[in-house]
Amino acid sequence: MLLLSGTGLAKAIEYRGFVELENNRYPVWAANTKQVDQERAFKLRLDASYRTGTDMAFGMRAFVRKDAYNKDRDVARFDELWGQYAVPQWDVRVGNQLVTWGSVESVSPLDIVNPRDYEEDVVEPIKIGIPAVRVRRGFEEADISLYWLPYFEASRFSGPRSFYSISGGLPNLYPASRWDGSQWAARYFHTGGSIDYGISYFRGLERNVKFDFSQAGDMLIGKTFRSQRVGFEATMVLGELVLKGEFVYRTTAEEGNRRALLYALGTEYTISSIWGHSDLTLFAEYLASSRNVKDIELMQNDFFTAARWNFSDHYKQRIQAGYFWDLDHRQAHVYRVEYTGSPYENIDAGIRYTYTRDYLPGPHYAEKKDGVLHIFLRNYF
Amino acid sequence: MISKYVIAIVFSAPLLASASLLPETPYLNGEAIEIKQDQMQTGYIGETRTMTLTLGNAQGEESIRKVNFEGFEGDRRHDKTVLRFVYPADIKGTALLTHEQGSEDDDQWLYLPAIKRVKRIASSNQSGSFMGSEFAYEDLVVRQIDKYTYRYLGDEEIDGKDCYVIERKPKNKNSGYSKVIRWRMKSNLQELKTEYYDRKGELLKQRKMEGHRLIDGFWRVKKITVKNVQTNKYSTLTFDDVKIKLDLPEHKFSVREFNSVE
Repeated sequence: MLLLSGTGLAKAIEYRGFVELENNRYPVWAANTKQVDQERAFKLRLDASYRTGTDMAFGMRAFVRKDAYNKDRDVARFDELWGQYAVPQWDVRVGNQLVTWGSVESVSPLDIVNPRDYEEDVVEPIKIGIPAVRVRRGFEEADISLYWLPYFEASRFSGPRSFYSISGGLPNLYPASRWDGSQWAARYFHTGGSIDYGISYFRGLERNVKFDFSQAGDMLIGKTFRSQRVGFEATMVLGELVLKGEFVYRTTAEEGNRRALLYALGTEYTISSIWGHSDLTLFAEYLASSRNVKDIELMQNDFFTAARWNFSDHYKQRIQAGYFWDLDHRQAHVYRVEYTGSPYENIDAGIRYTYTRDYLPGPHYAEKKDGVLHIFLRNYF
Repeated sequence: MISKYVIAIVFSAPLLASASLLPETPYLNGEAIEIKQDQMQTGYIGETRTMTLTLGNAQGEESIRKVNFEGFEGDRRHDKTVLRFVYPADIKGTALLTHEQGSEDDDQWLYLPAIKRVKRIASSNQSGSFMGSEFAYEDLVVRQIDKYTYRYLGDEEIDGKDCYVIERKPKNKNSGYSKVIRWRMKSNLQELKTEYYDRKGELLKQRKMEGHRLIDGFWRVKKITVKNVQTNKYSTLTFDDVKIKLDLPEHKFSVREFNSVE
C-alpha cells in the first residue's frame, strides 16, 4: 500500500532542470592580484511542482553554484519553495517566490521585487527568490495581486575576488538580510486585445543597494533605503511589431534621489523563416532616468539593441548578439556574442564573448577595456 | 529512397489532381462544404490530447518533440488553446497560449519557465515554423473557417475515397500561402489531403491525414504527415489520449493561469 502511494506521488511530481559546467576566462587581465582570472563552476538547477487535486499545489526551484576558483560565486538556495491554495478566481501562495513584472528584454525599471545575483552574469543576472505572501484575484481578462514581502535581501554584485568586482578587489559590506514586515507590493494586470497593460505599486527596501567607500577607503559599504514606486507598463502588438513601455515614479528620503522617473521604451520585431525555418528577432530599447538622479542611477541614458537568430534546426543552433551604449559617455560600450547548439538531445553547448569598454556599472567605477570568454556544457533533465 | 518518393509526388500530384478532377456538382460551393464541416466541429466544449511531433530532415535525421494540448471552445469560434511542451527537457514547461480571433491576428503569449515570465508575442508571424517543423503556426489553428475564402473545384477519388476538392485563399495578408487545396471525403467531410502553395504560387508542401476515427461523436485523426516538396523535409504529428467534451474551466486559458503551478 505504501509502495503504491509512493509511486502515485512520484508520478504527480513534475520536475525538470539542468546540470552545467561553465568556464569563464578573462583574456584582457588588468585587475589586481586578489581577483581571479578564471572561473570554473558546477551548477545545478532543479524545478519541481506537485499538485494535490485541483486546489493545492507546491513548487520548488533549487539552485546550486560551486566555483573551483572563486568562492564569491558559491551559492546554494531555494529561489522557490512555496505552497499554493487556489479556487477558481482566487489563489494564495506562501513561501519563497520569483516575481516577474515588466516586458523589456534588457534592464527593467519595474521588475525590482526580487534581488539579483550578478555573480551569475553581470549583464544578465538571475533573480534570487524571497519569502512572500501573494493573494491574487482573477477577473475575465485581468488580475490583481497583493504581495506581502516580509524579508529583505540585497542584490549580490560581483564580489572582491570576481573580475567584475564593483570594489576593484576590496571587501564589500552588504546590509544584513533581515525580516522587515513593512514591505508590500500590488499589481493590476490586464491582457487581451492588442494591448496588455499593468499598474503596480511597491513600498519597501531597495534591493540594489548604494555603495560608498569606508572612511579609511579600504572597503565598500552598501546601504539600502526605503522607497515607494508607482509603475505603469504596456505591451502593444502592432502587426509584426511588439512595442513596450515601462514607467516608474520613485520617491525616497535619500538626499539627491528623492524623486525619480525611471523608464524604458522598447520594440521587438521577428522575421520568420528568414532562412529555412530560422527566425530572426530584433530588439531595440532605450533606458533612462530623469536627469535629477542621473549621477546615481544605473542605466541613466542608455541604448540597448540585440538580435537573436534561432535556426530551429536539428541541432537547435542559436546565435545572439547584444549591445549596450551609454549615451552620456559615448565611448562606453558593452558587446556580447553567443552561439549555442545541441550536439545531442538534452545537451547544450555554448560559447559567449562579452567585451566591455569604459562602461560605467556604477557612478564611481568604470570598466576599462576588458572582456570575458564564457564556455558552457549543460545537460537538461 | 525518401527523396525519390518525394520527387515522384512533386511531379505527379498536380497532374493527377487536374487529370482526374471531375466537374463540380451543381448547387455545391466551397464555403457551404466548409461551413458544414465547421458545424460538425461545434460542440466539442473542451479537449485535451497528447501530441508527438517528429521532425525529419533530408538526410533522414529525426528528432522528437512532445506537447500536451488543451482546447476550450469559445463563442463565435474564438477558441482558446494551450500547448505545453513536455519533451525534450530543454523546452519542458514552455507553453503557448492562443486566443483565436477569427480572420484577425490571434492573441498569443509564450510562457518561459526558466525566467518565470509570460511574454506577449506577435501572432502575425503565422507563417513561421512551429517548433522547427514543417507545420506553420497557421496550420494548427483549431477553427479556420473565418480565416479563408473558399471555392469548390470539383470531385476526385483519392485512395478509393470520393472527395470534394476545395480551394481556400487566406484573408490575412500575413499568411505564408497564396492558396491551399484540400480534399475532403464526401462520406464525413474530413480532410484526407491538402496541398499548400507558397506566396509565389509554387507547391510548397503536402499534408496527409490518417487514422480518422470518431471520438464522442467528433472526427479526429491519429496522424498527420507534412512533406515540404521544396526541401524534402518532413514532419509527422501523432495524437494520443484524445479526450473531448471536457468541462475545462475558461480561466485555465488565461495569462494568469500560465504560471499557476509552474
